[in-house]
Amino acid sequence: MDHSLWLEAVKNLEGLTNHVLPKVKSSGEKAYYELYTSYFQKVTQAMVEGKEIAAHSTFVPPEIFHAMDMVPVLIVSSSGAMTVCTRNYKDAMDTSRGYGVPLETCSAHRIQLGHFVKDWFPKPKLIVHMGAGCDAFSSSGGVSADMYDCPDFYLDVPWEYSKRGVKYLAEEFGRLIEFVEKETGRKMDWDRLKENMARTAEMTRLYREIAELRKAVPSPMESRRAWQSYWMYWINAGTPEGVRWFTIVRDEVKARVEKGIGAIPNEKLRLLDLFMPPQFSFRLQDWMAKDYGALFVSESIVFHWGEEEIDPSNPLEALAMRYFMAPMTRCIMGSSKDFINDSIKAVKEYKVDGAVFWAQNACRQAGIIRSLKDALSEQAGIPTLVVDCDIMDPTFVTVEEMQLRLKDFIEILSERKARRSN
Amino acid sequence: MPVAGIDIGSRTAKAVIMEGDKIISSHIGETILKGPDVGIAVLNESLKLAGLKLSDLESIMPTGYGRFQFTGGEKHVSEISCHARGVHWYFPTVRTILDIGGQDSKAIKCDSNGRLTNFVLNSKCAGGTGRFLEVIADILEVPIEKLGELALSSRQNISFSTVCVIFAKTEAINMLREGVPKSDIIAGLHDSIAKVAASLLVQLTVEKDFSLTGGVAKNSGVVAKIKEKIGLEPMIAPDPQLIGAVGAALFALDRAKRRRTA
Amino acid sequence: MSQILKTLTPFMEINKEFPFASPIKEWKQSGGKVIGFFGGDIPEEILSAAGALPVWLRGHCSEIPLDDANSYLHIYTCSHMRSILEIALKGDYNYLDGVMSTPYCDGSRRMFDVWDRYIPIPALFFLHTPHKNTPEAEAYYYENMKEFVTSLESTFQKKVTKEALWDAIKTYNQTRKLFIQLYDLRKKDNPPISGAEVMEIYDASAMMPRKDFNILLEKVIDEAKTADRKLDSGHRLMINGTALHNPEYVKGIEDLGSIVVADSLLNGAMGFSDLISEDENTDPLLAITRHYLNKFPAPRMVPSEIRFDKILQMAEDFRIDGMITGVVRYCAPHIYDEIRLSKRFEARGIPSLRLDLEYGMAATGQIKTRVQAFIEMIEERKRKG
Repeated sequence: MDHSLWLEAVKNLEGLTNHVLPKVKSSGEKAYYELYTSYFQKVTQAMVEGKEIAAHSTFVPPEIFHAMDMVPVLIVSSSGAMTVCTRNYKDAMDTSRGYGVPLETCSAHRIQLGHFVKDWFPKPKLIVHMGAGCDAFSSSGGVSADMYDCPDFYLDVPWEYSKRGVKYLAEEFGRLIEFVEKETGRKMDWDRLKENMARTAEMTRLYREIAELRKAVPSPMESRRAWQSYWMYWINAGTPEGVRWFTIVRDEVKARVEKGIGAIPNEKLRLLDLFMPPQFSFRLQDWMAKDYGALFVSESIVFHWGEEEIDPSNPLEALAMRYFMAPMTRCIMGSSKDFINDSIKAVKEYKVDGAVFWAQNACRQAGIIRSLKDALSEQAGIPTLVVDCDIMDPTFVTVEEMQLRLKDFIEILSERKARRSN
Repeated sequence: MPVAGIDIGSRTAKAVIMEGDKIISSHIGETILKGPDVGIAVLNESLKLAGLKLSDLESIMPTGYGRFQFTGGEKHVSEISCHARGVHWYFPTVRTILDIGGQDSKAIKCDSNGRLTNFVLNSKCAGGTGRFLEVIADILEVPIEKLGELALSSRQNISFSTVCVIFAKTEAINMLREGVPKSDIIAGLHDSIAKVAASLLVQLTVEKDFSLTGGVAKNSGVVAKIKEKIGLEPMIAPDPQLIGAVGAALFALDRAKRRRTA
Repeated sequence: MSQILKTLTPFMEINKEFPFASPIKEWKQSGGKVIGFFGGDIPEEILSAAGALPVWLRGHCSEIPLDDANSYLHIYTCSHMRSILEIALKGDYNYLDGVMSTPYCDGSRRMFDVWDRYIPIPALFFLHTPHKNTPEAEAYYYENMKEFVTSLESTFQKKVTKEALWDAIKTYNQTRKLFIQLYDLRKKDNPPISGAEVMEIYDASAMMPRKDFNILLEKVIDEAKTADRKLDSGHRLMINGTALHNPEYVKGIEDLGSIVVADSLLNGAMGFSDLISEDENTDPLLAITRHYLNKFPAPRMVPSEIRFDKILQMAEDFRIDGMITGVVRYCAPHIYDEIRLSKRFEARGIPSLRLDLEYGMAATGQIKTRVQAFIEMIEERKRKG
């Protein structure tokens, strides 16, 4: 195993956090740096102490691993974070290419596999992956398990929400627990799992409350906080840290709404974010807010929750229900109708002026762009900008190139808004 | 008896006549100018140079894109095997070869006998190939053979955001308009080509003795960039453009020998 | 090369008439319904038992411009799906009375949405399929099957009877048995049929009533057995990867000194290798459910080892010298499948080659160069022993 990259990344992250913390005013931003860093520190500690690590895909519930006293670590997001922190994009992507991964697949997974080829990723006791999100997502876990030659479990997910689907998914979570018990000799602590699920239900409640608060004009929350919330939700699901995060963010947002102040001083344009923006930097969103007063006030794939409630007393069903109600799985999985209808609804509820779809290189969710664009134009009366980009490769389309596209769009929207208010 | 190897590429065709273990003559002709019979045309030129007739040849081996159309030769061999074989003849220690041709680029691995063990080709587009250089030379109005020299005088690093030949063309035109010196633009393009080449090599394990073949290997600017990217000094044959034809001629010798002993 | 098999002619005639081949036309003229489907693991038996003619949708056997499809599905959807959509957008699939799919891959799922939104079609059916063959998955899948049958019945106002299901199961099993016979012939040193010819047969099978197809396929097998046709075997290859339909692609590979003797394609061995149980004391729908969960799995199914073992077993049975995987660009399931599969082939000393393709293309210059170099590599390996 080669821990050097992981350790270097965590060191860089700690350095950045120490550097940033004294400067930021927002309590949400502060909490993000602290909690994000502490997530990776816990994994480092487990590596040093030899504690059993469970590597898992996003959407595989960390609640289960916590209840079984294992240290969970996200596969694709953590590899990506390590690459962002060490800026070893090229090395990670070249490595996976050398292994035979072609360029026609998402760079996030190419980077993930690069980390596994080089043994950079912490050696887990087991890998749990999932058929959610997309084909690259559901296939790359198996390749990682091959590379590390460690036991893996694939969690089967129904394509769409239904009562039958909830039952099947709950059964799958049961199978997952059996698998972990068999591989590790641990026993599930069901009381602990219920406690975790109660916290998850609380996090979900706060998350939805924040979504409601964000309808205010001016918008009380920074664009970057939405994405931070989403990742915080999945890395800290069912933990006191998770509840803490959402409480801090809710409090901050609520206070702003009560005082009638916005996240940025001069909000001019309210935008709807339709898809995952590049994850290597939030520079773009900061620049849009600062230079143009253009703010993303809602995000289809990370802020639109389904309506059903989560009942912690039945933890397996609660996990299944949460999966179907959570924003990203709700949008990306199943027919595109939910994605489209939620977005149309958001335009009205959040008083949106325009939408942006990030067309990620090689991402087959692009098949929805035309339908979304047409629906938003015909049924919600707003234009959509499609920005070509890459989720993790900063050289594929540079920030400057994306800025050019966004700048034109912002100008069009501003003119449109001025015309309308006349 | 002498034999011939003909490498009919997308941009140029090359013929080499060998006898025993020696090259007697060679010729390079442009595919477009000579039309569909370019293989025979370059072969005739090299026969003339060697003072030989077609009937003097014991075997003719065609390779390259035009190999399917060439009649009157041996059952053809792919240019990938020919490059491995040709490089091995010049440099027996080489195990990794990078061939940058007119329309595509290849990274090739061979064993101690010059036999192909693995290979990677670039995808469909012409980015990172000789064609890329031609297009740009044309826009900048610089003779293609002067590109290397000019690039070496470049003073600032320019990086192209794309390796796509169509987009790069637009980018180059814009830079010209903005007054960026030609030498810098060319150096930037060389960098792009080297990037594509290096990305092919990433897919194979590079061993220390490695060789660069194809017409682009004559361009000192690209060679310098590749050296920089890979961190190894490439071994380059006297005429790197002829390597495929040399390999084909060696295969022709094999076939002739096999027939004689059969 | 020996003369072409005469019995293949009817298949080739049908393929020339794509996409609205005469057997489909005749079916329509006699008042029958036609349901087109895309994606994989489609229980055609059920469509057939409902009285419909199932037609497996595909694109043209050439690289056509996909401008319309690009604007609806974006270029990041594989050209396989975009090629089908292009035909639909041009109106050449207007003869369909319904379209059916499954959540097979990202491409098929999003195409179903686009079809739903933009293409006028009388009926749409979607069958939810799991990725596992556990008892829970079976129960879930079985319920979905029932729901699918109900939606078919209400759309076409016709009961899907047990008798009709058993009849369809037997007919489709007959096809499977015939293909197994045909593939057995390909195990010989000098197979009597080429890979390109087998692809012609598959292509035609997607556009005609299954009973008629079985009769024609039987004739091919008879001729192949008795015609004493021995194709020069060269090197024995297996083809794998994204479903492809252009026989010229296979022919291009074979013309370079090889013969394709086996495949693990969706429109190939994946479809016929396993039979549905014909035990009439059981529920036919359950038999169908079990079959589609346990048959030769596609890359989407887990654990992947079942698929890999099956392919490696075929490689052994058909004495494969090399494996060629054609991956249509952006076909993520096969991209990842190939990465894992090629390592397993390597471990067994069988070389493998990945070809990056666009749907519909024949073997072009670059592909030929790759394949030829690959065959030369196989030759060298054999020579070295």
